[in-house]
Amino acid sequence: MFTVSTSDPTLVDTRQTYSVVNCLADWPSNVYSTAPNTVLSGFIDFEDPCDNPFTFDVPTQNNANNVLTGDFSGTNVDFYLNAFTITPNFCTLTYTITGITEAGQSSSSVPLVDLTSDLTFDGANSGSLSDG
Amino acid sequence: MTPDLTDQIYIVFDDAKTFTHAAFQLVTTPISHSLCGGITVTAKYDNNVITTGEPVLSYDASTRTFTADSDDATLIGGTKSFSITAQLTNYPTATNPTADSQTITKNIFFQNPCLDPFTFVSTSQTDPSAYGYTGTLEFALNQFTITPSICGVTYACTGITRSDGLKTGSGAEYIACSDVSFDGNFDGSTDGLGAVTDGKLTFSATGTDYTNDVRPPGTYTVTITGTATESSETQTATFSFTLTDVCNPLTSLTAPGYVDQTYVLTATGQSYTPTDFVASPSYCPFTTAHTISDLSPASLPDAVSKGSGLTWDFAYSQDLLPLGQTQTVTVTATATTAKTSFNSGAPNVPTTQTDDFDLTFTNPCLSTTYTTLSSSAQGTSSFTDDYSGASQTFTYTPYTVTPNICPLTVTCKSITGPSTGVLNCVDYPIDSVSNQVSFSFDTAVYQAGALTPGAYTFTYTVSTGGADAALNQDFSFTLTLSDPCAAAVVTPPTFSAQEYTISDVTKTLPFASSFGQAYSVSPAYCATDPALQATTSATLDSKLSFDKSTQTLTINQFFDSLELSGGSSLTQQTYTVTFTYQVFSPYSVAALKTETNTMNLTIKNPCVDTSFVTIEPYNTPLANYGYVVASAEISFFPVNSIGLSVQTTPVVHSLCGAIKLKG
Repeated sequence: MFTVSTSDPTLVDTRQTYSVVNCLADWPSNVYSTAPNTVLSGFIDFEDPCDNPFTFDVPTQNNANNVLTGDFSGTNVDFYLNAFTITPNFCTLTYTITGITEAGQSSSSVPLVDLTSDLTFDGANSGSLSDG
Repeated sequence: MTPDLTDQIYIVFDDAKTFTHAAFQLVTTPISHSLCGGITVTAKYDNNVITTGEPVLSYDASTRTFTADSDDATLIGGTKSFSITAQLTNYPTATNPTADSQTITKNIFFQNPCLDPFTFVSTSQTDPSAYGYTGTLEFALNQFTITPSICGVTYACTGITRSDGLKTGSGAEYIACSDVSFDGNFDGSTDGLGAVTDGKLTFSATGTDYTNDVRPPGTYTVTITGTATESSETQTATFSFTLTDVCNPLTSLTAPGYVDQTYVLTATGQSYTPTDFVASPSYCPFTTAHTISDLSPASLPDAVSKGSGLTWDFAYSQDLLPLGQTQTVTVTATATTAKTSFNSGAPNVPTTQTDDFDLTFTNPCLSTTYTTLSSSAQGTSSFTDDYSGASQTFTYTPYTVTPNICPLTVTCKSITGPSTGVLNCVDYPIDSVSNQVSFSFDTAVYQAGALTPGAYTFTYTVSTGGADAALNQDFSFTLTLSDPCAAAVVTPPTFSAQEYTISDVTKTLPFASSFGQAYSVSPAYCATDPALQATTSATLDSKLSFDKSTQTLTINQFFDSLELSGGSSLTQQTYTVTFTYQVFSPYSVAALKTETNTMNLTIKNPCVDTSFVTIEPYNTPLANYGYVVASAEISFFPVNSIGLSVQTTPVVHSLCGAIKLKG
């Protein structure tokens, strides 16, 4: 019996062949590539779950590190974003800073342009910043 | 009547003297008658009646004759009476004292006949034997004849003259009577030995007398004068004696008896001084002359020469050619008289005598007394070769020898080395001209297996021929033969990794074709032994075989087990197969060289190789399914696998087990 179960996003929207390999019990061809076998094949079409994610939640941004202070020393002040959760997690999220507010002020003294960010959780640094 | 009777004189020894007397007459008176008978006359001598046979004076009555006849020298000078007495025969006075008788007595005087010997003549003398200046010449005088013999005669030498009339320079005779001893008195005197010397004349002369012409040889006439002692009559006789020229010829000329001599060539100061010829008499002069025989060739100088006196000097040093030859020195002595002036023209009779000695020669080269052998440093004395066949030459630097005429022989004494009896001296003489000996040993010698590699010492003896060790000196050189196979160059095959899949057909791997070449060795004549060594797997060993002659490895087909490919867990297993290639020498049991090479042999599992094992194809496709990624799993069954089978080739086996399905 075959069981299909995968979370591999790379399979999304692909047709994969599945086969029944008839090989020697002691010398399975999957182990011994050169061992004789006979492959009987069919197809499995892998559909995209992100078209209808199973879940999508925003976590609280209560990261202790996010209590930010600055003393105008010129040193960067970093904010770490707690990533949003989506199932399956390989579904892609994009983040955008949409505004800055200053307490007690109608407008922020810090313009958006003064912020630098890496909002792509790709495991790579963007300049001196890391994901989030 | 009384007859006449007179005194008589009789010379003793003279013939008988007779005298007679008249007859007695008987006178009767007054008348004449004859009554008284006849008359008997009795004669007496020296008052003794004369009987018949009276030696001095006999009387014959019948004839009235006296006869005086006596050789009784004692009578000489004496006088004897003789008488005749007449008486009547019938009336002798003895018985008739009165009868008449008449006696007449007279004297007879015996006169000395030597006063006038009846005869006195000389006698012939016997010449003594010739005298040779030795001992004493003796002459025995034949006494002169004198009658009666009782008459004394004394003899004396009264002259000695040479028959040839020669005299001394002073005109004197060479020999005088005073030079002889002569006993001219026959008186019975003797010499000291008791021998009667009467009439003996002796003479002696010495060699000096001969030499100095004091008593030269020749014939001498001696005059002996005999004198009748009482009548002083003289007679002479002569005899001759000859003084022989003892040197013409001399008694003997005796060779000294030369002794053969041996001369050591090149020796100095060697000579021979024999005794001289001996002349007898020793004073006879002689001269000598010598000859020396030639050596061969005749151009060679003499090894002997006349030295001073009787000495012969030996010297020869230019070569050894006299060896085995004999040089004979012959000396001829000739003795001739020096007294020819006294020989009256007698022929000179020389006496010759020869003697000789052989001079033979001794080789000086045989004795350290005369010869010194000195070694010389030799040149290259160490040679190496590997049976290349190349000729090599040892050059002998000649030793030096004193004297340099000694020839040196260089003979091979021994050749020693690992092999005995293979290299023989007779085959390796040093050429006497080039002073070289060459030798070469090629592969044929090597392959014959008799001449073991190693160091061979060629020992030669330089000899003068003498027995002393100092005259026999050795030198040697060494030839080291290396085993060419010990340095053989082995070219192995270019082994490449090999594979064998269990159950495959037998796989042969001739080295020549499989690995570019078989093992080879240079030199090619070296014996070799290619071999397959045991691997670490006895199982694998049992599957392999190796043909040494073709250098072919064979992997024999097997399919009894997958053990060699790794059993149930591995698809292959690689083994190291080791080959050795040993190079041997004919001279050693052990290999001289061993080339070891390895080859990887991978034993593969046929079960993972579709060339050997396949599953019969099944072509039914499977159904298609859809699945949302990350959603709940879905399950379905594939078609079953009944009808699949395992196919093996080239042999049927079950090593690979059963088939299973796997999605």
